Amino acid sequence: MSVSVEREIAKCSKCGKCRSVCPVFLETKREGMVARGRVSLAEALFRGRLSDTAKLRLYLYGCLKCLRCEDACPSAVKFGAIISEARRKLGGRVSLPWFARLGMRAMLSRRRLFDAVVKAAALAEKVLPRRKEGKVRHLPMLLGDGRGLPEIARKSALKSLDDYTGPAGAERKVALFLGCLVNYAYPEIAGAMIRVLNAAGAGVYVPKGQVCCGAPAASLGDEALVRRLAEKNAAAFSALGVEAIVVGCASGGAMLKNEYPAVMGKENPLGAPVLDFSEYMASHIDKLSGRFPGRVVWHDPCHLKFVQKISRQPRSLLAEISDFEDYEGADYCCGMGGVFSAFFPDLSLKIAARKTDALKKAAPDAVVTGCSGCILQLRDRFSAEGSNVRVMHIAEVLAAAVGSDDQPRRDAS
Amino acid sequence: MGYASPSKAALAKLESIFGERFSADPEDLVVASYDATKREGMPGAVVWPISTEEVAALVRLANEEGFAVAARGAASGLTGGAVPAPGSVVADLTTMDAILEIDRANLTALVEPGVIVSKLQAEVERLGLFYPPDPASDEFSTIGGNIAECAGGLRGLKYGVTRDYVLELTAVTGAGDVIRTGSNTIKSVTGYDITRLIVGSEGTLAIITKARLKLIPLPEGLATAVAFFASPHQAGEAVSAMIAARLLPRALEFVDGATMGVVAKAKGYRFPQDAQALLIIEVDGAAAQVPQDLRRAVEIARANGAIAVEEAYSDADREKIWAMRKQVSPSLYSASPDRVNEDIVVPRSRIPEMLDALGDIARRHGLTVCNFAHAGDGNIHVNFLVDLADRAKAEAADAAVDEVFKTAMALGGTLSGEHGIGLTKKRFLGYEVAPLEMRIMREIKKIFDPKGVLNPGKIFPEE
Repeated sequence: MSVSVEREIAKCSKCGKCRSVCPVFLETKREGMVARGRVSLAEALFRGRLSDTAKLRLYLYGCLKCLRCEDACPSAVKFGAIISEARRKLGGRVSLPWFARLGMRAMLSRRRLFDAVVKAAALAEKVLPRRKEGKVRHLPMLLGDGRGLPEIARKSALKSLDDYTGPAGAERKVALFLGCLVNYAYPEIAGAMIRVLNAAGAGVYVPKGQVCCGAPAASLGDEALVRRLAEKNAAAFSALGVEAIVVGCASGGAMLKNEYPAVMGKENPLGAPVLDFSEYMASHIDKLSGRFPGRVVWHDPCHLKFVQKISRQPRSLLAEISDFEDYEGADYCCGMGGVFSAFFPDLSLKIAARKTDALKKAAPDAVVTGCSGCILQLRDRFSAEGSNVRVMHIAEVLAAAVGSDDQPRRDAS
Repeated sequence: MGYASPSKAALAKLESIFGERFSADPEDLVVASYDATKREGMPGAVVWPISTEEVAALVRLANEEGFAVAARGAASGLTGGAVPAPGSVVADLTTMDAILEIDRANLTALVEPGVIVSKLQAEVERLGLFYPPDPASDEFSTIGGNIAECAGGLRGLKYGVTRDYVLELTAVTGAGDVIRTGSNTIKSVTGYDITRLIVGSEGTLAIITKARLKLIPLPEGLATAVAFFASPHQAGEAVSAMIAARLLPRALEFVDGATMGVVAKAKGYRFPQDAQALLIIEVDGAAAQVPQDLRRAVEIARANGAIAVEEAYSDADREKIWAMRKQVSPSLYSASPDRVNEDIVVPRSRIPEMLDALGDIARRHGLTVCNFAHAGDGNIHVNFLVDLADRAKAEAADAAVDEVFKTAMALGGTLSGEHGIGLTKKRFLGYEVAPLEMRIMREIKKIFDPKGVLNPGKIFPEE
């Protein structure tokens, strides 16, 4: 156990406050499924008092890493660091089938291979029955049964977007980090972000060398893979000379901001500050004009609110251009948690049900958020319930407000 | 009495009763071994009962097979009451968490022990009703644990503590019998008050499986002020003067200068220069009356030397004051590796003397002490900031705590206002409880729990 993690473990006063905020604990009511218990289990693992068992893995992997517990902790214990180190210790023994693990290693770090596999999956979709218009089931080995996943775009965002969009002499230039879901499933979100950023006066680079942020690998405890991905992304972004790297995905932003400096052992590894899309746009709020019609509410992605501490910015943006309202449960987790939902599909759905209940009570015209994982989960849940609530990325809402679509969008097809 | 871990046969019987709600996996034992004291006792098994009958079956089996049983809620207690004696079977009651009834006609609520206190508060407040006990842990501690420890909180001065709100209990005695105590009425003198005996008994007499609680109407108005003083004495005088003036604020929270310094440093607060104590005063009642009461309290604070006062009448402003108060505990957690935390009580008129003595004790032992208090009821939270890994400091803290208790006794006070005795204070019990009374307590324990299977090792000093 590293000295820093040992110190974090010692800081836990075992007060139990995390029991009041953990979405997984609220459903399971098991001490092994909450930060205080997991900290104790990690300590016992590090000290050799517990060995690697299926139950230990259940408790150490049955965490969304939403980090609500860190946010609430009176002793400021860095729970994320403890759980990450525990998973690294268990690393390589996670209960993913070995071929999936190997496949992930090979795929996530190689864009062309990833492209090819996703294309194959897209072909498979054509022969599988559609559950609902625009949604299909695929990759069942990764996401369990019964989940509707977004249709894979005919052309990924990275393939359809230009390297640079905006006036050649733009006074401000930013680079866009897309994230895998946006790249393959929601390229229209990438288009919307570019339109809004252009309207705010920023030229936008989309470096083609960017790869997966590494969040799934980090969740599984594969540190070597995270480092490899971080280095590839650093190579793609660090020479651009932009004022910021803008990220439209809460989990990706959390990785780039917090994990990259740690695994690469240097400050500012991407050569420019990393900002969430709403964080960047909040300082250009004066550039917004026009309105988005209808009542909207915000869903706080955990990795935005509790990891990046961003919750005010998207609200002020939405209040500026729409009929925005807050509601009870705005920061309640959607239950997606990346690979969490692959390992614990039932638990994921239970957590999601609390969220959709809160949203149904709020009954907005559109639910707006800033994380492609949350979008996937919420759209799937609403569609499974036969509800027609729209779930949108904040860039899509702002794009409607900045008006004319004189900029490229998703490959129209 | 020493207890062995449950035998293989006993474990098999437990599994046949509880099925999937039984575990002897080391992972489940590790996470049932501690409470907020960070002390540990490794249990022999954990079960998650869902009914009174299951708890009774468990305790009967304990009597037959000779293992101990430790009831467990959120395990947020501060004296080790929920730390199992090694080898015990832990009964984790947090899944029994139904609010069975809120009786609006009679102003009562019937609850299971695993209900989270703040959840109950929110549910009854929605109906214009009020459950006043509010320990700092109310967002995660359970009603069962609150009853077993007789939890207090900030509103004790005006509204009393948990014991004042328990009307009726269903519980399983140490013999495995299901008993019902008390009455679903406000008045009842039918025999001995066994309900009150169980409240605060720390799981040593009976395991509570159902409780009927008294509710009161939710006060319609609230107003809050914070007053700063150049000396803790003046703050103490202001408290006495308010009560003498027949003002009964719902909260009168005292924070001393050392604690203010820690909060200022940790959280960036800026308090008035020269302030060496602060009082938070909160009044409630009829909406029209509340501002008048707060102004009277503020006048009294000023008359007793307050150097600055801020009044808050809106929820947003009130929240700001309480947000600062809520930073006290977290700031102390981060100010030192460990804190030795006691919750003595003295008659409120003796608070200034006790504070002086605490400063003196800390100085003599070379320790830093931070005190905050529910001043209205004389309940002082004494925090020695130490690194217990440093042997000399740990011994100094030990000696200091001993003196704190002796001083509290000398001033006519009590060892614990709301945390209980548990493991951490049992060696001091004799300071307050004389041999005769101690014998009565031990005899009562025997009547409820002849074989001593319930939560052994708590409250009483080793014989």
